[in-house]
Amino acid sequence: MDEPTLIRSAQHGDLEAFNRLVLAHQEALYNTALRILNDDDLAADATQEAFLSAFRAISGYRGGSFRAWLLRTVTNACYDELRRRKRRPTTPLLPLDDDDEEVEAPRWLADPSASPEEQMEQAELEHAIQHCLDGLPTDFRAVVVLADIQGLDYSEVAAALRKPIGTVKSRLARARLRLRECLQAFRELLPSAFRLQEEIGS
Amino acid sequence: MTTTSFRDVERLSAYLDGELSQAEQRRLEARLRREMNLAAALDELRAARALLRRTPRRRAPRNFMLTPKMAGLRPPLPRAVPALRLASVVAALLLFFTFAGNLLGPISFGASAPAQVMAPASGYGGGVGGGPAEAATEAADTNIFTETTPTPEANYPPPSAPLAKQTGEPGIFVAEQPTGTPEVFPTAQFAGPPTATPEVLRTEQPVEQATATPDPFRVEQSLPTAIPAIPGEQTAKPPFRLSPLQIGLLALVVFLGGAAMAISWQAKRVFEKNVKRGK
Repeated sequence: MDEPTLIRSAQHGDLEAFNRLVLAHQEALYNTALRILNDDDLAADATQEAFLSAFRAISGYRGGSFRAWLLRTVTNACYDELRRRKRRPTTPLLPLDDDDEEVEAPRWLADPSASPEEQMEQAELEHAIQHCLDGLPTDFRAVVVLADIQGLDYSEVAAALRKPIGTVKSRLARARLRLRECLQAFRELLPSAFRLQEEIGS
Repeated sequence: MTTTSFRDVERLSAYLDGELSQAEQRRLEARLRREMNLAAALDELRAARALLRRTPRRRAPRNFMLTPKMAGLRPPLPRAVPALRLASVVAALLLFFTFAGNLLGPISFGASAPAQVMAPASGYGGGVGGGPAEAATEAADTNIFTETTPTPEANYPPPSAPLAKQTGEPGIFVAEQPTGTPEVFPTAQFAGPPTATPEVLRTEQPVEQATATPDPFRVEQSLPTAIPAIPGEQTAKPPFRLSPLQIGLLALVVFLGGAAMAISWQAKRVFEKNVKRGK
């Protein structure tokens, strides 16, 4: 069954059809939540909450990018979580050891097929990007996560965030500028990553 | 980068994403060929974008599929269920109204009953206490009042009427009369022609009562028979005895409600079976 058919079935209350949509999009929603919240458990909660509210609201879906529509539910769930976090500050996102160094969790190692060196580098890159993302205001972070990490086009980002395309364009440019400056600090730590992107850029 | 205006950075960023119009794109490309700063800024933005696009993707830590319970799903109700429920509610309302009708009857009767009972009591009190004329006028007033306000009780034959007939004495008849005053019409009907019209009866009654010497024995004798007669008739009715209509309505409520429950329960079972099979 194709996506529009599954959506139509889900709109008629077919949970099985909706769950097939969940399986197709859960990784995108979870990763978006993870990059915005930088917390595994909270990201999982936000993803679950987003799918729940998506199921309840799916009858109101009126075409357009379904992925963008779903990502809107997860960004809303993330904003809710960030508001809650602002009211109740929590413990550091990564556990610290006795020397106040961050303990690296094995979950950072995303790709089990990669060599240990590659896995280490991936983890370093992820850590660097997440660190820089955390330095951005939430609205900028959401734009850059949707556009550059999830690969949405401007109109999809605008639909997901309910902002005009002009705002998306401006925020994305500003976010990229700031991220570029931030990521430069990791240049020595991530030589191969920067070498690669320089090759891509040239 | 610092020499590049934010407006240009915005254009460069949109250019990277292919979001510029053709005209804007041509203008920017012409500038990029001439302005080295602009070209350097574009490279930096492109590098940042490329790095971000390499952000490792995490696998979802678990499945986020919804269970029917999470989704708050309920089995789709067969169309008959709401109709059955509505019919059951209507039947229940009708049943309620029949009860309410039964309750309202005694209440309206009960409002006039004390006046009826009190009137003869005061009449007797006056008679015994030595004020018969005054008592007589009071009794007459009561008669007039009760005559103009017909009550449901008027349909019932007064229990005191046969007593009056049996004794055949005017004194007893007069003494009995106040107890039956609310039922002037029935008394007149059942007593028959000898008493002529109720008006005559009423005008005669005070005279009789005023002239006759009050006999406490007779009064005492007539009181116990007369006063409990009205409440006795009320309490004799069983309070929760159901009429055939009420029984029918009750059966309808139970049947319709039960049918609605049975159908929805069956639908729920089928739904749960389907959900399990779907999993």
